[in-house]
Amino acid sequence: MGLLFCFLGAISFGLLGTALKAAERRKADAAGLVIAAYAWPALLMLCRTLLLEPGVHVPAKVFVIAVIFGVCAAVASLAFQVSIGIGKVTVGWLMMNLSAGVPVIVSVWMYREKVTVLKVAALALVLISIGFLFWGQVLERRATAPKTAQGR
Amino acid sequence: MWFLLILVILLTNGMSAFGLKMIAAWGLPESVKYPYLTAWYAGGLAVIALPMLLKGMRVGRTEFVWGGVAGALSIGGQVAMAVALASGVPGHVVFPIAIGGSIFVVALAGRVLFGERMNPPTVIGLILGFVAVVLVGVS
Repeated sequence: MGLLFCFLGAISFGLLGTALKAAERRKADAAGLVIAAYAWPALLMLCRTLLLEPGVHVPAKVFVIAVIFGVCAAVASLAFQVSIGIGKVTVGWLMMNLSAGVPVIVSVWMYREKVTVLKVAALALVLISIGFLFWGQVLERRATAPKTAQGR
Repeated sequence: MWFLLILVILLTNGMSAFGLKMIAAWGLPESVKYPYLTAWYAGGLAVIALPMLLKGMRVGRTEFVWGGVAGALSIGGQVAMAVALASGVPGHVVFPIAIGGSIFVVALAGRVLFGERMNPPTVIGLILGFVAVVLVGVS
């Protein structure tokens, strides 16, 4: 049963990427889309917060890091939405997920987490993968550049 | 332009979930995550909405509908993962399946629905990236 929900999660997140590309094809404004995508969960979380039992103390530092990382997420969402108008949604989506390598490095540095062979291998693969994706993009640009020039 | 956007995605998106780890490290109660997430979404909302408001721009119907769909699918994915974890499936199984699987779904949709064709380096990059994401999830 638990595994079924893993696959439902995969389908849900996959459809999220697909929906964002579909919105881009319908000429949806990237910033407006991000605003709408953040407004609904913000409202939902606010309702859930108001339902908390009174007396829960939330230190100010929690709000500070929440705003910092929330801004990071919104900037990433906007960059993703703009990027899929220029490049491929598959590559953009993969980059969104490859970025998970960054907190792995920060965790090792910040919390002195153990550096395992698996972590090193995963991060090395992240870098190699990004290299190939960038190379692919450069080749694509070169292939389309003469056509664009001829079209002028 | 594309390279700059990808660099921004790589540097900002991964770190966006790091706050929950910091809260866990501070030993704060589980219920703190709700006010945290409220401020998280509000902060993200404000940084995009304020410049738009200052320019006098408005969110249209298309953005409102598709943004709602995106928000619902995002919450659906999070809930599905939370249920899987709560039912005893370990995190090193849940995250690679959910995240790796989503890449497969998007790649399939990109090819079938949006007609995206890829050159050999991009295909190799995607395969290696898929393996890397699964390994990051496992590690």
